[in-house]
Amino acid sequence: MRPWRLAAMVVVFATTTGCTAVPAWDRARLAQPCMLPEPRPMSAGFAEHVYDYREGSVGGSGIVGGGCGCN
Amino acid sequence: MQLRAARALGAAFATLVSLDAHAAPVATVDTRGAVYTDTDATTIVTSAAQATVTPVPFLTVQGQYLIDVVSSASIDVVSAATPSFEDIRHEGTGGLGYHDEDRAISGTYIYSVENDWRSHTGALTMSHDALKHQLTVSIGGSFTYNDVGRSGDETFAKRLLQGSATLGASVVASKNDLVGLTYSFFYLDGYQSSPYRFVRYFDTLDSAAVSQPETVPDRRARHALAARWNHHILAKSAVRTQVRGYVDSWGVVSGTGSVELMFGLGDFEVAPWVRVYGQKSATFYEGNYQDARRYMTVDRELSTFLDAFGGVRLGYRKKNLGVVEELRVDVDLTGFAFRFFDFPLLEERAGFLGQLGFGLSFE
Repeated sequence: MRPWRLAAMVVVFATTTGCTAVPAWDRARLAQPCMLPEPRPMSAGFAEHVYDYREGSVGGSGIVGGGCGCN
Repeated sequence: MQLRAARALGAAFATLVSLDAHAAPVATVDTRGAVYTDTDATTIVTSAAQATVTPVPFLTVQGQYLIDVVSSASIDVVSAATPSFEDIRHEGTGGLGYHDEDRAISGTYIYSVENDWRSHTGALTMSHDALKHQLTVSIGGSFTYNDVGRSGDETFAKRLLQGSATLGASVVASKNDLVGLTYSFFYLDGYQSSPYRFVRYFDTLDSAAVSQPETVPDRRARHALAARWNHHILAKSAVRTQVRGYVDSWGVVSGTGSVELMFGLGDFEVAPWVRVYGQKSATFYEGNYQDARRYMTVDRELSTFLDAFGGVRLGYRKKNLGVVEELRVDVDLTGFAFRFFDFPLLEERAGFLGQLGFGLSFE
């Protein structure tokens, strides 16, 4: 799939799923650690490190990854 | 070793996350140790320390040092006629982040060095909140310069360049749901083989077994699209799911799915999780080459396989301890198993990854 198609999908996704407006005072649950995009960046980074070098794929996670010293 | 850009971009994203999550503390310090071991005779011990300082409310400075100690007698190493090897990698990271009410921007630099590899990476990531913070759009890019060597061979010198771009959107779908989509693109140009791997085949013209260094294309374009859905279920508890699709110009196609149940119990946190992954091999990969080809590899990470990871994360957070605003301790216990379908030297691999983290935040 070409990059511009994927970019278009991102835009469509973002603009069509955000139609349920949630006021700021009703977002307390969304601010909890369990709802963060990545609540434990260092821990997730170490795990991503393993995935990146034990699998043939990379990307999509938006967190720390890579590097094991074994080329 | 081709993933410094992913690392830098990830670190930049992590800085953005920390800007949102830890806006109040003036300083945080985190240390982490990890042990990886598998049935293919590989052990990796990793230690890292990270510090973040917020001198003024809108500015964050971050630094990290990481060291990997790798020892291996895996089937890759043994088949290269080397009994085992040990290596140490040092990595230093520096980052700077700015944020205001609607925008965040962060830059990251990473320097990594080991006996046969040296890399420099720079990354820049920006995010912008729109629609009354209902939508967050992120964009990032990175560039990595790698010098590749070969242990014990001073004459071996190769270069690998990598650029990457990431586009992401996160949406508040309801008062209990956050959804996000991230697209990542990587382009690599340069030496991407391993100087230690050799392909063996039988030359029918000479009627003799031949062994030659593996060869893969110099260029590789990689695409990943991931969707994330976090659903709040109880007080301090959520179901976190993610799916990812991946394709690249070498013909590798893969899918990933994961789910985590994160329960908050007072100051404690328990999070069992599982992740599954499946991959189709690169078009030029073969388990047994019958004759010479332009591209030949015995890299099992380019073969067809399935794997599953699973485990539990245990966390403890205590706030308001005098000058210490928050104390954090966590333990991650992970088991995993691989099944290779067309890699004759190894059909299965299992292993364990354990992590212990400790952190403090100061006001």
